[in-house]
Parts: sequence; structure tokens; C-alpha cells
Amino acid sequence: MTTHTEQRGRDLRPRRPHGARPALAGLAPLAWIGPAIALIAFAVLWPVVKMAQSSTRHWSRYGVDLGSNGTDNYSKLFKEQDLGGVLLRTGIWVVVVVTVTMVVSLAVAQLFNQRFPGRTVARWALIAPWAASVMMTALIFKYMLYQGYGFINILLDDLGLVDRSSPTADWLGHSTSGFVWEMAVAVFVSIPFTSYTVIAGLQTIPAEVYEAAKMDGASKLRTYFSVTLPMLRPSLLVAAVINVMNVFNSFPIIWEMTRGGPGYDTSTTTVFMWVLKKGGHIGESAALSVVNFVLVIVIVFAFLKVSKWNIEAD
Amino acid sequence: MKRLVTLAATGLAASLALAACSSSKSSGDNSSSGAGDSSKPVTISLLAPSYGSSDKDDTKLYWQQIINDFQAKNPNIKVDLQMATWDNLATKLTTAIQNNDAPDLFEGGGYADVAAQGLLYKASDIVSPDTLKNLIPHVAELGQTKGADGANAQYGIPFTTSTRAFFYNTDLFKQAGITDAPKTWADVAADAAKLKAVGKTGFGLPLGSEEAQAETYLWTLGNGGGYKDASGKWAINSPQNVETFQWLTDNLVKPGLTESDPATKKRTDLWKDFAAGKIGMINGSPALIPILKQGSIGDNWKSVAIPGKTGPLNSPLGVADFIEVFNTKKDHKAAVSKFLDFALQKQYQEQFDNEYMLLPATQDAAGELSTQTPALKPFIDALPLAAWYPSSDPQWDPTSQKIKDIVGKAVSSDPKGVLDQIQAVATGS
Repeated sequence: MTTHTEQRGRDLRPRRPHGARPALAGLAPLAWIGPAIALIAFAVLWPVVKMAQSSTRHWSRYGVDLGSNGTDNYSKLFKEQDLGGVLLRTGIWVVVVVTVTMVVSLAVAQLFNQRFPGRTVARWALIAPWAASVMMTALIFKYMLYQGYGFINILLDDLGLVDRSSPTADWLGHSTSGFVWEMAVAVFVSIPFTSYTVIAGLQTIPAEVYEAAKMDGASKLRTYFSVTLPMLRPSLLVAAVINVMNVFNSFPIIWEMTRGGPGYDTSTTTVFMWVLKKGGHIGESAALSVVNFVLVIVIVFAFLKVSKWNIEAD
Repeated sequence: MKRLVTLAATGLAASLALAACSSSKSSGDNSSSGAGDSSKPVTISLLAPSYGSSDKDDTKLYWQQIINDFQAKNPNIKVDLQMATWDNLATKLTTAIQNNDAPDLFEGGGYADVAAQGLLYKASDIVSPDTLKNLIPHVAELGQTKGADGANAQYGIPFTTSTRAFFYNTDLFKQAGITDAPKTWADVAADAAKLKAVGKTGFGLPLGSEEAQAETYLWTLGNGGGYKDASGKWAINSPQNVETFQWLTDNLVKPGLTESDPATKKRTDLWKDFAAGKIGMINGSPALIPILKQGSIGDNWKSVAIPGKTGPLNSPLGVADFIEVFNTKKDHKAAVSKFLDFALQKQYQEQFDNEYMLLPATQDAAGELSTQTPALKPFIDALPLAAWYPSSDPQWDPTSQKIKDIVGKAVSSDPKGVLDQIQAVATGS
């Protein structure tokens, strides 16, 4: 089927100057890209249009459309007393989780790229947090952090660091310590993917460049920063962009561990979106999801722009 | 540049896919066939909360038995039972309605908001006049609210009621050298300090998302406050209420006499801790009694009237749970009527109340239980005096949700600011 079309496409080209054929020929690429365009329109563009539309409607608490609402949902959303804190927290969440994940993953990848006995097993083990359901991981951490009898608290108690029945040991009950633990779990589940991307990157670096560096008498540290890191740039870029989006949109960790509370003290925009919807403010929730969407796009583009600028500066 | 575009495109597609995932499911099925008359098979649905401790699903068994008995007599009507915990009941119902897939029958909290949206049948359209007459009158009155037509009518059909009391562990009181049950807030604080001295949590204060609206009401009533003022206007940020939370912060929470971080603690967890002898005092309903029987506390507890600022509350907090009948599936009406008349029979009401030590909603059951189970008589007699949630106000549901979300912060940060935020939701401003 495809070969036929290709042949006809090729046959058409020389005849282009004659007659009405060119118009048809212009349409020919549609046969290839048409299905993709249809898929994008249906699965990508249409939901975005729906999302934007629903943010301008007045919804009852129970999802009945009560007509147009203009920008009311947005003005209500920006008047929410907790929104400022939520946005700031989302920023901290993304920056800290992605940065720590990247740094730790670079080290982990370096380690796993060495030859050592049992490397295959160790590499398999690294996949575990990735393969496990994020919700289960979050729940298990929640149990391990229980005041009094959680595993982590027992461990810390045995080490003499924290009294496991003291208020401090109620990690998820306080806004700050709860959020820090959630960021730790987010890093934990992001490391496998990132490490594998970096390992894949490390394996594409040819041995010759290292030999050349050796010949020139570069130190190990110098080799890492001047050869390895620059050559890893493409895979680091991919890992970082995907992590930024994943972490930004992450919901289950925070929801399972603290439900975004106490109050809304550990909510990010994604969690707050659900909180608004749960409280019956569907329109506001839709408005926040539009804001969220725009934010992701802006962050990703800004990030790519900055990385690109770095490459040119080299 | 090409890479930039490719990456950006990947990013765009991925985030769009995520955004698409979060949009709601397609609308629910209205395809269940069958007319209401019992000649054609029909399946009706019931969503109900679990009243027992969470590890035992005994409320499910209770409903399942009624359903089995009912289905034996009405082979053409099937009842699909869904259970939820109190913690996620409201979310489950809201989500079902938003997805246009409301259950036919819902048992649990508020009804006023959904009635105002025109989503409910009037009680008189569903249950028989005999069943209606049999409901305890002043509890049935609580089920009245304005419907979508603007007229007042009964939409909530009471299913069970309860009153709240103050429970304390007599064993721990003895250890701590406390002789009398507390009558005032000052007593509670003093006794909690003595209990802390023997290594226990003095008072269990569940202000987390499960039932913070009850704990809030119990404490604010003790200071002459509450949710509405005498003229029926919302008064959540009244000076009395602010003072109540300030007192709780200064006298119980800051000195460490409660469990840590009350804002995140659930009632069911604290009830279990009380039953395990870890907590000395707690507010509870008769539903706590079966949990105590399973715990290590045994019979070493007593319940008294809830302490207020200057003396015990003279009107206990009454809580009524209502059944709402959704009108979204018109062809289920006859089947739902039949089932509800069947389920509200005396024997089932009594069975439920004996199991959970809760109070009935029907007169014949109340009369018989008063003589059969003397322990319940004072609670049944107290029902007419009780203070109730403002549940016939359509704003109560969103307000109650907001209380659950944030009231816990009133004992760790600025009480006035938190209560102002809740008041704003109640008044819709």
C-alpha cells in the first residue's frame, strides 16, 4: 500500500509543469501526515479546547453547566487566599526535586557505569522504585513515618536521633517536615528514570575522547567536567525536561501522604486543583488547570531556551 | 534549533496527555433498562458510609442482609450496594453527581444543597404515608429545605440519629489521681495535664478532614457560639468562636496536652487510641461504645455531658444522618420507593441501633428501644433538646467541607483568619 503511494508520488514529480496535477500533488503528503494530524487534533488539541472552554463556564457544585461566566472563575481563583502560597510551594517543589534528582542521578549513573561484580543485579534493583506504583510507594513511606511505630521513626530512635513518640516524630503532621519528606519521596521515585537516561548517555561517549584526554594529561575531575558533562548534555536535557513536567504534575505522593494538609500547607497547584474541585468550585478548578498548563509550557520553553543559550556560549 | 523544537513538541504532547488524563470521565450510563414496575428487572444503587471501625465491614453486612431479604420478596429488583468511609463519602458522592452518575439512594450527610439543585425527590413522593408518619417528627423536620421550585418540603429522610457525649478512661483517671469528671474547660485542661504527667495523651482533638465539623461545633457550643447566631445568620467568625479556638490553642494544644498536630488527625484513629488506653479523654458518640468493647480499655470508661466553658452543655449535639433519593433515573422511582419502605421497618432500625448504639429515626423503633435497651433511653429522651447542624441551609455542605479542610489550622496559626475564611464560604462572599 505504502510502496504504491510512494511510487505514484515519485511518478508525479516530473510531470508537475503540465496540467492540473500539481494541486493533487500538493495534497499527497496528507496521506502520510493526515492520521497523525487527526490523532493530535483529537487527543491533544480537543481536550485543550475543552479545558479552556470549561474554565469560562459557570458550573454548579455538581457539574451542571449554568451558562457563560466570562473571566469570573479566574478572578475568583486569583482572589483565593491560599493561591500565593500554593504557587510558591509549587516552584520550590519543582526546583528542589528536579535539581536533587539530577545531581543524585549523575552520581548513581557514574557508579552504575563502572564494571563491578553483580552490576546486572544492581541495575535491576535500581528499576524497582520506578516499576512500583507511585501511590504504593507514597503509602509505604507514610506508614514508615508513623509517629511511635513507623519503621523510619524506630530506626531514628535506635540511632538516638529522634524520640519516636515525640511530636517531632509526627513528620507528616507539620507543614514543613511533611513537605520535605514528600520531596524526598518524589526524588526517590524520579531517580531510576533519570539515572537510566544518564547511563544511556554515558554509553554513547566514545572511548577515544577519554584516551585523547588522557594523552593530554587531563585530571579525572577535569575529564569529567570538560569531556563527560558536555557530552552528556543531550541526555541531561531530555531527563530534565521530562522530570520538570512529571514533578510539576505529580499528584499521588502529596495526596497520599498528607492530603495537601494541614490546611493547604503542602498543596502544589496540581493538588490544589483537586481541592478546589472537591470543594465544589469546578470552574475555579478548570481555571487553575489552564493556569497550570500555561505554566508548564512556559517553564519548559524557558528551560530549553536557557539550555540552548548555554550551548552557543561554549 | 531542531532539537529545541523536537523537545518542546515532546514536552507539549506529554503535558497535554497529562492534562487530558485529568479531565473527567465520560458521562455515566443511563442505560440501565427496566421500568419501575416490578414486572421488569431493574437495578437500583445505594451509596452508604461504614459506621463501624474501619477494619470490620459490618455496616455492609447490615445493608446486605436487608437487600437479601428485599430481593427474596422482589426478585425483579436488584440493589447494588456501594460503601465508603466517612472520610471520602462526600467526595465520592460529589464526583458521582459531577459525572452524571448519581446513586439512586444515598445515606449520609447533607441534602439541602442537592435539593436546591432539583436533584432530589421529595420524601412524600417516595416513601409511603405510613413510613412518613412514623418518622420522629422533629427529626423529620430537620429534613426540610427549599427545593428547586423555591418551596419548602421534606427532602431528607432521617435514617439514624445520635447525640454526643464526653468519654473518659476511669483507669487512667485513677492513676493520675483525678476523682471527678470534668465539668468545665478549665477542668479538662487541668485533668489533661495530670494525664500527661502519667505519660498519656490528655485529650484527643480530631480536627482533621474526617469530622472536624463535629469537634468544632462541640467546642464552640460550650462558649455560647456555634455556626449560626440566634437570628439564623452565619456566625462562624463570631468573637465567641474565635475565643474558643484561642483557648484551645493556648490551653490544650500548645502545652502538648492533645495528640500532636490535631489538624491532621482523624476521629476514627483517635477513637481507637482511646480504646487502647493511650488517650484519657475524648468526645464521642454512642457509636464509640462498640469500639471500646473491642479495645483494651474494657469497661473502664464513663460518659458524661460535654464540658463547656463554665459548665456542662445542657443541649447535647444531635447528629442526624439522612437518606436522599436522587431523581436522575426516573424509571427507578417505583423500585426505590419499595426498597425504602422496606428498609425503614422497625426490625432493621432496631438492629442497626443495637449494633452501633446509635439512635433510631422512627417512632416505633424509638418506643421499643427505650424499653428494650435502657442504656439508650436517656439519649432518646434527650433528642428533642439537641442542637443540630444547620443542615437545611444549602450553604452547609460547602461550609462543612471548608471546615474539614482548614479548621485544624485555627489551633496552630491565627484563629480569626481561619474562621473568617470559613465564614466567607458560608455567606458565599
